[in-house]
Amino acid sequence: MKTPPLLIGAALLFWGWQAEALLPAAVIAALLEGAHRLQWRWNLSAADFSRTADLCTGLFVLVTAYVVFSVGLPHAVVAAVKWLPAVLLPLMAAQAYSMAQAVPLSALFFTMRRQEPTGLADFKVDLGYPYFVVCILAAGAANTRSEWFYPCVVALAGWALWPRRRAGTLGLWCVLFGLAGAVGYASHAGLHQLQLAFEGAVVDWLSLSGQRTDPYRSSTDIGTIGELKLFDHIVLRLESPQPLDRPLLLHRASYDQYASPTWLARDAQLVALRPEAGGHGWRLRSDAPLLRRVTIWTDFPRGTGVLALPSGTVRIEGLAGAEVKHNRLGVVQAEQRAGRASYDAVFGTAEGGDPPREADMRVPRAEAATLERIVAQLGPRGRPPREIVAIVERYFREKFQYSTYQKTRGGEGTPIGRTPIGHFLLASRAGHCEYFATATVLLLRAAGVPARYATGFSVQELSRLEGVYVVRERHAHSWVRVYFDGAWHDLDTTPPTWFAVEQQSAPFWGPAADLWSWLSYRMARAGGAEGGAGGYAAWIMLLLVLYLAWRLYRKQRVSVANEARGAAAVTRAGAGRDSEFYLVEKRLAELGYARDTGEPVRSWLGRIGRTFPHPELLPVLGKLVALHYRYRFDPVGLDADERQRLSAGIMEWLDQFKAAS
Amino acid sequence: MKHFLYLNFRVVSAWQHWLMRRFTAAGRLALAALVASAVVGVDTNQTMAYQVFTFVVGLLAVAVCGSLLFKGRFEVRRLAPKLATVGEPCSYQVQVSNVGDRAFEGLSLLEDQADPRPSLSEFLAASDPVGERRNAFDRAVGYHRWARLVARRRRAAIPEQGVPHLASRSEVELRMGFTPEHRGSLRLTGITIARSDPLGLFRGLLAHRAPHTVTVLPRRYRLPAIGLPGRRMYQHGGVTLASSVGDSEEFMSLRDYRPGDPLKRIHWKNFARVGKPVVKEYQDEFFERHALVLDTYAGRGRDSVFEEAVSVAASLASTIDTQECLLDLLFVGNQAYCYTGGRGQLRTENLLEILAGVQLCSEHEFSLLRQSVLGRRVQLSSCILILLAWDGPRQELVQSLRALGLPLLVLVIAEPDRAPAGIPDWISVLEVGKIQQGLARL
Repeated sequence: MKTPPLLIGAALLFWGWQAEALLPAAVIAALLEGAHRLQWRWNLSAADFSRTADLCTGLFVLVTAYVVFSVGLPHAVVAAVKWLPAVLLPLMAAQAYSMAQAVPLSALFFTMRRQEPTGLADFKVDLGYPYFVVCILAAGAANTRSEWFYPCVVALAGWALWPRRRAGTLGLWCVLFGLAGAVGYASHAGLHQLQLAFEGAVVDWLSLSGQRTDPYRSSTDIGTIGELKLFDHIVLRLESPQPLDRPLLLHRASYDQYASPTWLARDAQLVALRPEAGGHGWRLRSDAPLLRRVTIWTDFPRGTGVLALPSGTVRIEGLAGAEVKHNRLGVVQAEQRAGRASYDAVFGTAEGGDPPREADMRVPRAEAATLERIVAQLGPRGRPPREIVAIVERYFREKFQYSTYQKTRGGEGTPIGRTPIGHFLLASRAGHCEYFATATVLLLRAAGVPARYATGFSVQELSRLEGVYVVRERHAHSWVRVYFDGAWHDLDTTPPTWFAVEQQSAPFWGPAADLWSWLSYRMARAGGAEGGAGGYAAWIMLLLVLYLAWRLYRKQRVSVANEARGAAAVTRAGAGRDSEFYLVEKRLAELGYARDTGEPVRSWLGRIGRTFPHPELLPVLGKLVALHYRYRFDPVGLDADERQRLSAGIMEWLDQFKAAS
Repeated sequence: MKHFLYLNFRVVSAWQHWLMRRFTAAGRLALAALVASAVVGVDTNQTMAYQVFTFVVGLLAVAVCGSLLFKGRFEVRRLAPKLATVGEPCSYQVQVSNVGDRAFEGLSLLEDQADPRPSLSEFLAASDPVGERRNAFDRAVGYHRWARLVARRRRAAIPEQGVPHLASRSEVELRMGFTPEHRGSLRLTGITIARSDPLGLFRGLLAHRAPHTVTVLPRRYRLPAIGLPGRRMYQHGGVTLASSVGDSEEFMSLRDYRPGDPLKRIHWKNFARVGKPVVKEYQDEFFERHALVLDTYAGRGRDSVFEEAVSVAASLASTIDTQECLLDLLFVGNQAYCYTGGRGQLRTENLLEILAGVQLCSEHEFSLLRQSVLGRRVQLSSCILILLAWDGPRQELVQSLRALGLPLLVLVIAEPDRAPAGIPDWISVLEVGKIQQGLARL
């Protein structure tokens, strides 16, 4: 299947537009479409095609390795697809400028090169349409979210399908194609909505669970699981000028309302923060002293993500081009390009934020009796908040222990009429951080101190390999934000042993995974943004292809044009094989008027003349056959004028035949 | 595991067959684009390829619906030959009549072939001649074995043929053709008329039952004139067995009936005259009788060697002039077979048809072939042995025949560059891929 002229060029320009690489795409398009204008070709063997295909494979491996290191999995898959049109350029150029105008199947499948020669391995395929599809998919992978994407895809597809339509169905084709476009448009909007709904329903098991934080809702595992699942994947890195003397809590979100087993944030709309001059800094508070600075490297797989920040963060720097929002509960969210990013957090002592509200004192009715009983035992009511906090902290430190295992799977084993938190406080006295944080918040509230449930990470692990602090998914943590002395303070009542307990779950391949993670982190640091480097990659590949083309051009160019301009005859061996008459033969064969092997052309025309639907066209063809015979078999051949007459005559005949059909 | 793989291959093969018949080339590309866009666009937030996906879904859905509009009344008649030969193009005519009131454009004819998928036992017993060159995964999964078996059982791939404009109540005559790739029976079950939907992606099919079997004869090589040596031998049974081959029937005398004499030899007039059965006695029959012995013990992974041996046997069977002699074709399948060609017996085409169906023997020992050949030693003038190896049993057979003084032509078929060691000079070794050159030296 040959593609219509300019279709590949248009698809490439569309890809370049979407991938923000318009100039390289235009050069590639000119290179490939230029083959229609240029008359010279290379006589490439199957081995040459195999080598070219291997070159493309090598380029693809390089590009994939680069994007894996720079943006990490799984985004690397999409990022690699984005640059496929450039990666496949050598093979497409080889096809466009080869005598065969097609690629042997053995070049595409390595196993076919080593096996017994079969008809399949020698089979040649035209990669025009597959490359067209690759360009469209690569444009989609660029993810510009442009409203022009779909209309352009439909238009290009229409262009591609137009020559393949069934004859005599012009009106019906237009109706059906329009219908297909409408169906596609309606369903792609629905599909996107479906995914959003699906994600809302099953947030955490779609991987990235440690990376994603919903500022309005936090589902806990309280009362629902047996063994807590812990993941070892590094999710962020923290560079601190001074070593940390104690674990640093990186806050991501706080919640004020508990509806077992979920924490919710009500009335906490995110509002945009105005960037400071230069657009690289955002100030969260204006009244706090700046004490320390840390740099955080993390991944924003979806572009939008909640920032992990130390308590008391006053200012955020970096995140060029991002839009930053925050809410009254201390959540800071950045909207920017998907991929890796770094930002600096400058922080002081205590968190500012809004003063407590009624919701920060609310205790669920189901837990009230249990909490009242414990408060009565501890007797803190009426004391200053700081003392109450100390009592509660001591209570948990002395009476409770850390455990990632809960016997009460699905509530089983919990006495009837008792909640999981009640069971934790009165009976089991063992649980993971969500139990401790939730129970502490509720107990403080019951004792009259405003408190919130906070989630984020605990930074404790200094990587000897990298020299920075690394934070893994299993370092995700929850704690309490408690309000006293006019500010919100972090309170972590989970026994400090939790870190060591969870460390035991590190897999044996952890060091290898850490090494891979470090390499990709270093690559990302060295390469900057993936998009910019990808653009360079396209240019490098283009230059490489041009260099190879020049080498080939110098080495084994074969002209199929009438090189001896004005020369009287075409005398090379195998002359006439490019006669346009074969187009007529092919077209008629497609319609069922195939010429038998060895059947003379004139006999063939005589035979089909009896059933040919347009017999008036056959005499013209008979005259062209004479020229074709001379071009094909006469040792003297045709002069330039006659050759032109043959070519133009055949094309004109084909047009007439098409119009008559 | 192998059972699972077999079922898997069966399902995939059926699906592939359906896909190739139902989808046009553009449709298959659309299907590939559908899969690729589903993979790339699985996350609608990360890429916009999901829009490509839904559009292609729309295209294919509309195309499938459009193909349902294909209705028509046709009559199809195939004028196909009964015999074809491996490697030689075979063409035949098909008459398509449109008996409806609508004219049709863009039709195609597809031959329906019998299901070529092998049985489980065939799949398990099959071997891959280039298995040692494949990687461990390919060897373990065995897809190449499956593909090879399917191709072998299919005999030939018959390309579809476009139908010219077919006016209402009119008939067109088309020429279809194929080149057989493997010997055996090529079973055609019917002819299907296909027409793509207006978008050119999916085809509507109308099947017509038209069973026909083409016997694909083995590939044959050109042979030089072979002068078979040997003298005429007494043939028990004489002309009743060999018709007019050898000396003409000549009455010699009468004698008393002996148990076992055929009734047709009783001289009824004398019987009536003397009151006891008397039979006519004829001069004994002497004529040349040659044996063409085909070794069917190839072992696993030597299919190509066996196929070449069958081709060489077919070449000899079709070249040897059997007007003045008999030619016994001996081989072992599920039992020892002997088919005799020559005047009054089987014709050359019959021998070739028999060779088209010869299979490797795995049930019996080589000694059965030896017994079969030596059992006929008294009648034979000469013997042509086509052997697949040069091991002890085969050497023993050759020595036994030489000890009888029987003129021998021994051909050993071998893989390229793997000629067996220790073969005497008078024995010809034919290498796969160079059979024609080897035969030219005979």
